[in-house]
Amino acid sequence: MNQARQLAQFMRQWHLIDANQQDVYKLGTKVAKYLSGNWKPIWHPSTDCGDHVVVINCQDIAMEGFDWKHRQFHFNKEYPKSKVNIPAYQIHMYDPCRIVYLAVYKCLGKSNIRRSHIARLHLLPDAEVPSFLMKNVGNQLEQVQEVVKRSTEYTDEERRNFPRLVKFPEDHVVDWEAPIDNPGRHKLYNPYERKSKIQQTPTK
Amino acid sequence: MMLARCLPSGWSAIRGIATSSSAMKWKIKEAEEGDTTVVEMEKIEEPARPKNAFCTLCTCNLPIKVKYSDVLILEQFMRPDGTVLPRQLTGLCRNKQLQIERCVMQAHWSGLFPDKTIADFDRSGYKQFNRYWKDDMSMYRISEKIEQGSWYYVKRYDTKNRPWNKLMKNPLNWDPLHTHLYKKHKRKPKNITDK
Repeated sequence: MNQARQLAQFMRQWHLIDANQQDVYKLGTKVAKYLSGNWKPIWHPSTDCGDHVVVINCQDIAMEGFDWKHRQFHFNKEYPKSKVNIPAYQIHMYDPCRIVYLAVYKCLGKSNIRRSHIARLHLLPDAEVPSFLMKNVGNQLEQVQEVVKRSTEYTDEERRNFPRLVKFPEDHVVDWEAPIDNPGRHKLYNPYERKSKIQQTPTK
Repeated sequence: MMLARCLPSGWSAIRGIATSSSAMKWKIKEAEEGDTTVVEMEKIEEPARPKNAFCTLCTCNLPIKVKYSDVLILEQFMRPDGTVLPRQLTGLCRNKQLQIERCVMQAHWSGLFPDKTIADFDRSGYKQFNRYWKDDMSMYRISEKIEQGSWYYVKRYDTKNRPWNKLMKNPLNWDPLHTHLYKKHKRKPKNITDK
């Protein structure tokens, strides 16, 4: 078994990773490590010992906070009026695999053979993997982040067994918990504001 | 400060004014010795009450700091419409109440309460994609990150002919007014199987 694993190091292995709710750059560093073969003990910068990586669910990748808006990609064609910053979410709307590609390309670092490394990256927008890819895959990589569960995905059993933190006082009335009407945004009083038509005095 | 200047050598006088750490109380004590009644003031020492003695989150010794992903904890502090109960009802201290409110808002932004939101919760533009939060103050640490874009791209597999692929040939011509046309349509998650 160990010998088989050792021999497999000299081949192109195929790894699969699920990008659902994973940070792009954390995922990119992990994928880049496997694409360049950096995880192998036989690795050397001039050796092309990288593996293939299949990334599924690319459309469900995550970014931290407001990064979808604030992380901007700078494209410059060196022509007049050709500089443009495109926020990540617009690129992701256009092509759900492109952001992952850009992240992995950055994480591969500046090297002469990174284009041959990234050629072994297979990006798929959802969980449907074509059979000609799936028959090669021999390993599933661990995700880099926990997948957060929604409140609707918890069962009633889990909810019942979860300890209760809120202790209401003895004179608590359940109706106090009822939702209140939205009071709307606070508006400053403006004495010069135009009154509505009904209040205006008709001119003679 | 003025007092200190007036009494340069009188630090002991000022020290007498300063409050002690443990609270002191006095109690009237009556004792009858024969036909005389002795009334005395007795000193009672009371341990200082910790500030968080009434806060339910501070006192329950949680091993973790509450995060946006602790949905089952946040649910207990919420109304059915997704708003947070006031501090008078939750019984939290001020800091913890604000922390819970921030976490609930982050959970809403991440779409963790799909059954507890208002109908017109804004999910257009960048808000439709998955996002996570490092901690509850993460939303206040805002900075613009400029990445180097690259045209080098190997499009190996079809990205499933999305409706916007035909509409937008050039991402520079993006029109935010037409967001409703390009809404993300989610496919049903399927198990990875051979065709």
